[in-house]
Amino acid sequence: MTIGPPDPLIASHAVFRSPHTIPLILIALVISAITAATALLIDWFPEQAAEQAVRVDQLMWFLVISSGAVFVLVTTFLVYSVWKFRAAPGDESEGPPIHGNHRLEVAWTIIPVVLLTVMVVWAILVTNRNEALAGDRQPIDVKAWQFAWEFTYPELGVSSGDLVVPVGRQVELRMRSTDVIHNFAVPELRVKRDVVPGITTKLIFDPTRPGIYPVICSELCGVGHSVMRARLVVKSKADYAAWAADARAAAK
Amino acid sequence: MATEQHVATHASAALPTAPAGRGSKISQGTLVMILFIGSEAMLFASLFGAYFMVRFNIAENNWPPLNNSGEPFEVPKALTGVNTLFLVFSSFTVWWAEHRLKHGDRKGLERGLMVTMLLGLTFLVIQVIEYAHLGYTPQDQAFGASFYALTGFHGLHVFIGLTLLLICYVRVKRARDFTPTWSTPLVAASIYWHFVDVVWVLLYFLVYLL
Amino acid sequence: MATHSPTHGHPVHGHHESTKPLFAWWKRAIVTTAAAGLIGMALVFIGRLAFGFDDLWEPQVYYAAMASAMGLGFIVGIGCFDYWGRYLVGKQVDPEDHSLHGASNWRAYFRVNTDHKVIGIQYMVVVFFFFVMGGIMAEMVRAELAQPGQQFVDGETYNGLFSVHATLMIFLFVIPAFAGLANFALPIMLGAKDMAFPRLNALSLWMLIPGGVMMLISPIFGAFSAGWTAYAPLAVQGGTGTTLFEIGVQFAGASSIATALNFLVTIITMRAPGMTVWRMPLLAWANATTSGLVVFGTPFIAGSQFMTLFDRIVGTNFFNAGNGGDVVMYQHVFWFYSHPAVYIMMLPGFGIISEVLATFSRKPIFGYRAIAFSTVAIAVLGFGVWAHHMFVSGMADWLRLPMMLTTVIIAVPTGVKVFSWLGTIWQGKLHLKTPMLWALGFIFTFVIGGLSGVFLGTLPIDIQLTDTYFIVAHIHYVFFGGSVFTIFAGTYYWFPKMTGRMYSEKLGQWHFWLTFVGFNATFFPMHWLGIQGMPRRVADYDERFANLNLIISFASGLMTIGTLIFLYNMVVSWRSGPRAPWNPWRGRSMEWLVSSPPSLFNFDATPQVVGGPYQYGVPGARHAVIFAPDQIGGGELTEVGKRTILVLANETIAASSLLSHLRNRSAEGFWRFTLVVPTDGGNHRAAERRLQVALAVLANDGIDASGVVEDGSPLAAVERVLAEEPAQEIVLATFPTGDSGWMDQDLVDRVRKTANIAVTRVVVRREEAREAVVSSAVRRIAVIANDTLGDAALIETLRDRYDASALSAVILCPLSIDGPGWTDDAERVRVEAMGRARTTIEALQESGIQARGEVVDGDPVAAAAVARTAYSADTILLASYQRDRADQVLAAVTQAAGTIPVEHVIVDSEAAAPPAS
Repeated sequence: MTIGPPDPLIASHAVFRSPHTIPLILIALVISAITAATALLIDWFPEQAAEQAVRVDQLMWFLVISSGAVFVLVTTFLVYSVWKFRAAPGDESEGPPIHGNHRLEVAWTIIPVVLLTVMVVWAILVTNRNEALAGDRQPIDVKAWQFAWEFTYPELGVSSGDLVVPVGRQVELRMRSTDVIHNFAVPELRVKRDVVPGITTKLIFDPTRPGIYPVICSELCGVGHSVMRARLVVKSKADYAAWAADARAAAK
Repeated sequence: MATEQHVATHASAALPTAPAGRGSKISQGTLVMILFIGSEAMLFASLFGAYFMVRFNIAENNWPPLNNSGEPFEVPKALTGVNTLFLVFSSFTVWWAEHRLKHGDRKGLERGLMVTMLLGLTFLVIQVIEYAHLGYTPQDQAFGASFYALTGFHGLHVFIGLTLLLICYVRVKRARDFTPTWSTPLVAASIYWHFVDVVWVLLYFLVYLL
Repeated sequence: MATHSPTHGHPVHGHHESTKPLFAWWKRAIVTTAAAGLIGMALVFIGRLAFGFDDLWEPQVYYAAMASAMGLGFIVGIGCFDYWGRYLVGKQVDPEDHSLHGASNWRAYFRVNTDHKVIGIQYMVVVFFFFVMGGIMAEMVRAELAQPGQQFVDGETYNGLFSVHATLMIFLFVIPAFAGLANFALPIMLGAKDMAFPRLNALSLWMLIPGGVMMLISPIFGAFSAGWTAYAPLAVQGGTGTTLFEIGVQFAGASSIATALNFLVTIITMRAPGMTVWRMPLLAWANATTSGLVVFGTPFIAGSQFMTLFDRIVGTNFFNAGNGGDVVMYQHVFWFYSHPAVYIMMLPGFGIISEVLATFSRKPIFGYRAIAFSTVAIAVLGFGVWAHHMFVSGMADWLRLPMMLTTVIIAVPTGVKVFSWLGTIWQGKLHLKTPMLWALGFIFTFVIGGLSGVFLGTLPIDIQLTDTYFIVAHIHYVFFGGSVFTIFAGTYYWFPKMTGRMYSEKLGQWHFWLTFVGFNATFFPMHWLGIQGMPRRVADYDERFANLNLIISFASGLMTIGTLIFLYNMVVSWRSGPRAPWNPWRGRSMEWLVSSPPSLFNFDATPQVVGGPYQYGVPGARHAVIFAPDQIGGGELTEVGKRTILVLANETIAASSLLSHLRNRSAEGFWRFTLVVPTDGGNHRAAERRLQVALAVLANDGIDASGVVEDGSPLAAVERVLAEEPAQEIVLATFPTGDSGWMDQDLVDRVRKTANIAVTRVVVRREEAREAVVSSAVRRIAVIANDTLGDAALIETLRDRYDASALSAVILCPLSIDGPGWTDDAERVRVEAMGRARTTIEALQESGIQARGEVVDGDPVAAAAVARTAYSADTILLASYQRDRADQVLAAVTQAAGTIPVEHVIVDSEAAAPPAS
């Protein structure tokens, strides 16, 4: 890749003297800037309303950065090649007969393996911590049917159409469906699980932030699927105690 | 005119390229049948998968499960065992039929095919009788569904195998097909028949005995 | 046929193209389809009666039976089983029966055809039809989603729209489109003359059609609205459309298994001599692996749909949790096929991309073996990842970790491919033709789709993102930005080879850019929607997503415009694009070593593979060579190195049967023609006129031909011409034996002995030689004349005009008979007129002008109408003597002729016959 006819033997050793290096770096900078702007200037993530959300988002950032790097790498070479190696009209010559480069091929096999290994280990850690059961968790029974939710609080002996939970105490949902498959999802919690007829599926989360969040049925369940919604109301401990007292009174 | 001209036209167009099957040790017909059997095996794998998933679901509580009348599902091990023997024996008869052809004995080939088909037919008849006396239907719990699906699909494959053998028989009788050196359709049909037998032995072991 | 032997020393496979008219096939198909539907219903009725069911009428059972039976009935009726039907009742059959092979006109594309090239084109037309149908549904989905709330369709219809959109795109577009492209290209790339099982190949195509129709019409019978995944138990609840889907899938699945078996056997057993596995084009690697996936995976979707079908129609309890059923089991069985199906929809595309990138970069594939191995690795691993679709499904928790691992491992071979492609274009000589644009666009979009796939393979992230619009974005980035881009790349790449025509490069570029921009603008924002929590498959959504969804809906319109441009480009270029050379892209694989379109059996001699398929830039390297057999002169067969056929004919030279024979021979690819017309003592000028017509017709068809008129005997003419230019074959056209002076002289044998090369005889009937050949190169002149007929001056006029351009003439003699037309008087007038017309026609034929005639009862205006409608004349020549009424007649005729120009010839001769009244 120095001056003169391209020589495949020299190519892999002469990266820094190559005439391609500077333009490649410039293009990479431009594409990196665009990619970084897309990642940073747009508000991608919903609010974090549970401990699970924080961990998932950390892992997500790792993925965004590493896959952003791969994307920049590929598009840089793509854009540069299209710009630099275009054949002039009528040019019927052939390119250099390079059939491969073992070092390069090994490198681009190993580097993804390393990145993916980090990701897998991280993902396992996140999963284990996200699904670790706390001793004082609050069990809540969820019943889903076409097209509504019902939440029953065994501790309180009451039921409600909205899921009301206190901050700071782990919630364990024990979910049952009476007809088809539904799915309990709250984007702000970053957790989701199918509600399956015939079995009880479980879902845990640790709410951290008071507020009202949508509970979305995320598994196609029929004609009313898009309106099968409930609310997750996360209350401070005191508010929750007040709500619980009211609910118990109303139930009697 | 038209005919005359077309022949003249395409006599040269039909120049051969590499002969089919060049470099391959088995004929194309045998090869495609073996690959197709791979596909068929996967169909049974899906049904076995369904059966075992249903079974493990129930087995957590009790096995065999209870049917709609509250009695445990039962499968006739003895009768089906005898039936299994019929089918296994038919594998040998079809092998024997092919063997006779290799020796140039066309009569033996015919007889072998006929006996194989009769054994296969007997198997189907006994299977239908078994269905009639089981005491539960495909609608009876998921066990009924997966049991009937497995045995029913197998029965369908026995029927397909019988049809293939019948076609071979017709070819032998009416077209005097197959020679000691060339009998690809016959080989393919008999491979299929062996496959149907193997699946049944597996099925008998996993569903009836296990 | 008795008088001549086949030209070459090869076995003759009687290729009598089927002459059965098209409507006969379709009439039978319609009858059998309807009959099968009735039989299906009757069988169910009898069965239910025999087994003593309480309710004889259970609609779903009848629908299912009817749909299956009608599908089968159609396949049988259209003729897929004709051959096997004869075989299985023990009749003699000819395995080399090629009566349904090849297409010499458009009708052959609308019936069962065993030619892999025709089947490939049939596939492409069928799948693009379903692509348009699926696209219309997608646009309806986008219309509904343009704003939150309900606008155009209700919830059930909406669910039906996206379900059928997905099933059509997956089962009727992407999967069979790859089957279609490979069907056309792969056998030629392997050096084979067809697939291993041509009749099975035809069956595959025709099984696809009932499957597709069932899915397409399913909304009419109560929407199939459970999504393309058709999860039980929702699918068990659905309308009758669901039954149609479940049966349609069986047809489509059987079709793809049959094709896959065919590909596998073809690739294993039918490679040309010298083609080792490491010399196979990467498309062959891709298709072999894909076929393995299809063969071993597809039965699982068959199993899953059978179970749902039984739950729906006969009340079994596979998925009824109340009766021991297992809901999650459906997903396991379904995804065990449908995840490999993802690779079924992707690997052939990888193959196409490898072909296109190497050809348009003028460089060898970077890391051929790495790409080949990674293809196999992806396929093998592909069977071990199915449950990553089920991370939140409530399946056993322990299964999630191994599934995440295998999923992530697949990213490695996929990455290897992308990097190898970049290595391929690096330092190449990039020609940015339309196929290359799609390939480069594919790399860009597929990288995004692949990376979002890594997100989804990561368990905690998947839990967050699954069932949201992130999934919608991801699958469209891999299936549209991935698979569909490669399908377009392949379609443009092989279009010249398939049709023999070039597409419009400009429109192709417009198609690409509109689709590329529209695609990214449509699907990239969906990532954000998904992360924010907008669930997939909803007709209504949160107010805060409204603006973005509106933008997405508008952006999707760009793709619609692009698709319309594509369809226009394909149709118009196919009909009237410029002729394609053999090798427009200077490709190396074997499809570029044969003519465009290839001849009937692809190769005219066995190709010999001598090297790898991507040896660009390697001095002197070749992939394959095709040597001509000795009979046609030996040497290498190339587009420029043509062999000559000497065509010997006199009065028959412009006969349509001879010309169509030459047209067929020309399609073989390597022939040019020298037409020799020996006058044999006849009229030299007449021979020249006939030759002029023949050459004009051949030139108009793009056939390389030249001609010469030789005075003297045929034998002398052959000797003289051969002395100047060697020929490899002689085609001799004569009248039928007994009616032919040449045959009386035993000319075929004498020419063969004189020339010492193969002689093919073409027989032409005498009437046919006189009839005008139909071609836009030959002007058709209608001469309307009555009393001037037979006049030498008229004939002279026509001859003069002939010198300007090749023409044929029709003589129309209008007779205005007063009173009833059956009187003796009228008859006499008619006979006289016929006599005059005959004289003229014979005189014209003597002069070498093809002519015929008709006596028209009526005035010249009526004759003009006949000229226009019955003979579609280009020019009308009104001939008369100078007389008073001539101008009025001319005006009337001009009006009747419409757009056809009318010329008036005043015949000077005063020595004419007395005017007839």
